[in-house]
Amino acid sequence: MPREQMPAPGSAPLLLRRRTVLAAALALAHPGWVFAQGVPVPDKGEFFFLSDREARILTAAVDRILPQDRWPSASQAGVVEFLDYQLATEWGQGDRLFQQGPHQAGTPQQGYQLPHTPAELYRAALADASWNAFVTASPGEQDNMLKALEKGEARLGDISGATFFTALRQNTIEGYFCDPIHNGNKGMAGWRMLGFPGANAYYLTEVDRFDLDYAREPSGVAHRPDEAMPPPAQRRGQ
Amino acid sequence: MAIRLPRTDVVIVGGGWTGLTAAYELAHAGRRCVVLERGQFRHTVPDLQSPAMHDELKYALRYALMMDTARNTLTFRNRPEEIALPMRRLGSFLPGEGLGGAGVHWNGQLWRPLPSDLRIRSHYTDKYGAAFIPEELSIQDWGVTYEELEPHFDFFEKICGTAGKAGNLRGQKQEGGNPFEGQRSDEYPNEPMKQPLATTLFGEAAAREGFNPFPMPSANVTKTYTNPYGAVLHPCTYCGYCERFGCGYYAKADPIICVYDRLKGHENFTLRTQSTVMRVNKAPDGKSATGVTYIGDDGREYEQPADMVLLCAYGLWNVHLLLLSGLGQPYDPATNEGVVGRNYAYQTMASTRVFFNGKHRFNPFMGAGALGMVADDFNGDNFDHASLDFVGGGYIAVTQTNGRPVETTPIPSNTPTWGAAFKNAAREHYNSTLTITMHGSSMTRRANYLDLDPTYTDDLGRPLLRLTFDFPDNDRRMSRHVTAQALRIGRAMGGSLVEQSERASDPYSIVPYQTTHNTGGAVIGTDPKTSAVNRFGQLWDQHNVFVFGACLFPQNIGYNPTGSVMGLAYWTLAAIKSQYLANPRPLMGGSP
Ligand SMILES: Cc1cc2nc3c(=O)[nH]c(=O)nc-3n(C[C@H](O)[C@H](O)[C@H](O)COP(=O)(O)OP(=O)(O)OC[C@H]3O[C@@H](n4cnc5c(N)ncnc54)[C@H](O)[C@@H]3O)c2cc1C
Repeated sequence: MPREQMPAPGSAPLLLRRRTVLAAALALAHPGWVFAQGVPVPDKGEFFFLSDREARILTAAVDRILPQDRWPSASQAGVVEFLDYQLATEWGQGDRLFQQGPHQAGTPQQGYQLPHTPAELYRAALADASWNAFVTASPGEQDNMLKALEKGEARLGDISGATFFTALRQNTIEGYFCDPIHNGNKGMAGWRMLGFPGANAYYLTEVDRFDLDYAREPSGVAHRPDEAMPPPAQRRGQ
Repeated sequence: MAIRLPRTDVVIVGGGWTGLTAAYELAHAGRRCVVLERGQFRHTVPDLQSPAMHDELKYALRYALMMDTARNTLTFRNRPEEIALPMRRLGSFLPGEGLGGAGVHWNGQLWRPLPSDLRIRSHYTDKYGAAFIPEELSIQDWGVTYEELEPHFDFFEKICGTAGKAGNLRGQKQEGGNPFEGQRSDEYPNEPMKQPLATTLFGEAAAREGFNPFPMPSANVTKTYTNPYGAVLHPCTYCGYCERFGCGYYAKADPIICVYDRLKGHENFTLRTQSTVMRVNKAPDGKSATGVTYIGDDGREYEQPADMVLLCAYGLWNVHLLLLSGLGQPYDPATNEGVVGRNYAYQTMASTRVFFNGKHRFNPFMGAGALGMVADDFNGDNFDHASLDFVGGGYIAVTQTNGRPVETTPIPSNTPTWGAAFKNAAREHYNSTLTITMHGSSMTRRANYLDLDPTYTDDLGRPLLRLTFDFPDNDRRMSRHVTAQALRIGRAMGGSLVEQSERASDPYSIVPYQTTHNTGGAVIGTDPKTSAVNRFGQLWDQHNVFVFGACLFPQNIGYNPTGSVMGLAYWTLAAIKSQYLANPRPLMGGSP
């Protein structure tokens, strides 16, 4: 059984702070590449769907779900921009969601039963006044508030905390590890953290090399500058 | 008023494995076939090409290739006393939609049933006595034997260019294959896949523990190969975007590459996509069908008259169409009478995680849908049940299908699921954890069935299908027993931590993905009181309607279904060609 090594990665993980900083850095490293990652930038303001208040809350919340360590936090890796775009486009607007009533609470085994699309769910849940204190609370206090949601001990208006937290956690992980064409996983930080090489996948000669240290630069699905995602219909919050 | 179209010989509902195959065989038998597929036209090139296809969010998590649940879904409850509610988004299973059906985004784990699976009640009765079979179970023989289906299993394996190693070639045991399988008339057409470290470690540990491991039979092909229809497949690249994705490499056998491409342009073949069949129309005397009514891609209603109607819409939706069309008597669990919707079953899944805490690099992203090593020692009746209190079993396997990161965050159960500790654990365990799967049978009982929902409708105003299902106690006991064997292998693998989770230890939930192996509801058999169709897949009362798909399974086997589905499909098509076309009639006596 061959157990072998490939050269270790040459570059240390990118620590990413701001989109602009990142864009500039990547533009230097890979001319044309930032375009190719297809981040559509809204005309006015920072976001397509989120209000500034919603974005502040989400930034704080997703950074407790995936905080900064040697690797970027969720918001540093673009999770808020990811969420914004997701909520503004098909999935957020209820694509593929069966919306016929009557809506009634079921058993956990019956799955999601609220009348809200994901966009409506986020908008309604984030409107709750309990978030006002969240943004300025200490990380420990923030964790306690999120735990109360997770356990279903706190409600957000008519929405169960657990329902919202389940969605937020799942979407945060999606935004951290998805292909960068969806605006998350900036600089492929999530992929670098795991050692996942991304979309360009052809392993016919490597699959049976045991314990192989496969340290190839990751790549995403976008290969041409015109492969950006289309901008959504404007639905920015107040 | 529906627009009446010119008559055709055969109308086929659904353009997946079963529908396209039926069209291929009957078009070549000189019959004009019209395939109606509710989803879009799509093709390997350009729709399934990489790198665009390698988008986890779009395809694996937002289900871009699958059924649109905004328009049509089913309702679900665990027990008849509960109110069924809509499955508002996909989860537990992922039905297909569009040319190729679910065969476009399957794994390609290609199995045959065991001979004893097909005569389960007789087998257990003969071997352990009639009293052995738990009273709650409504299991029954298929009415068709392994020997009858064998040539058809063999042919479909060749259609798929299946990679594997025979364990029983014409009665001779073969080194390196499955020693428990039924007799095969031929070796697999291609060599097994290359095995990575994780599956190799499993095979070694299983062998040390006295199991008989072998490579999983795979429709991810291993060399350039031409199938019996003339389709060319290419070697799998182990790209790790297989199940839930289409294969742009022509390496995973699917109905578009293997069948459609060799059929398109045939003078007897017409495909209409974005065409949703509303119902099958019955003749005034009720003794036959006259064709189908469907909504075409222009939104208008059409009537397609036909001499034969083939239901190839996927197991669940075949049952839905039968119920909507008033074909066969609907099952009533209160009286235990009726057949349509009876004996729904699923798949009983469990998993054992083995953590190696950085000791290994498994590189899980180098994967393929059917890449794995399997031990079949505790499947079916491959082990003595005499001292046990259940029917059935399951295979135990390690597969390396993918390392897609949103779906791949194995962490020990005592680790928080978010926060700093989660992030650290996700990083630490990503590349050094493997999962042993228990893929178990699913027996049938009275309270698990399909009927029409009284409240919710699809976008065309038809009642949704209603699913009532929970794991029978028999299957919970089976799961515990077989999972204990998996744990033994897991412990022998030298990991730092071994953890188990069993689906059947909780009520069945529609939320987490388990398998797209929904079975039963229109089962095959020899008694019109307990089967919706006769042993040729033909409706008892309307002889020109034939049913395909896993809805035919009287209960579910411990294997993935498509090998059995297609064995039955070719069996039915052979009966149609050799017995029915020249003299259309019931192929077994009609209702009593
Ligand atoms: C993620 C995944 C992994 C899988 N892995 C495996 C595996 O490894 N091994 C295995 O054996 N099986 C596997 N399966 C199951 C396998 O895909 C199915 O058994 C197989 O594709 C069923 O073929 P079918 O022709 O019966 O149905 P389908 O492939 O579902 O085709 C039915 C077609 O009918 C169409 N249709 C439905 N209703 C109508 C209507 N009213 N009018 C017109 N058209 C209609 C649908 O749109 C669909 O295209 C997997 C499935 C999934 C989703």
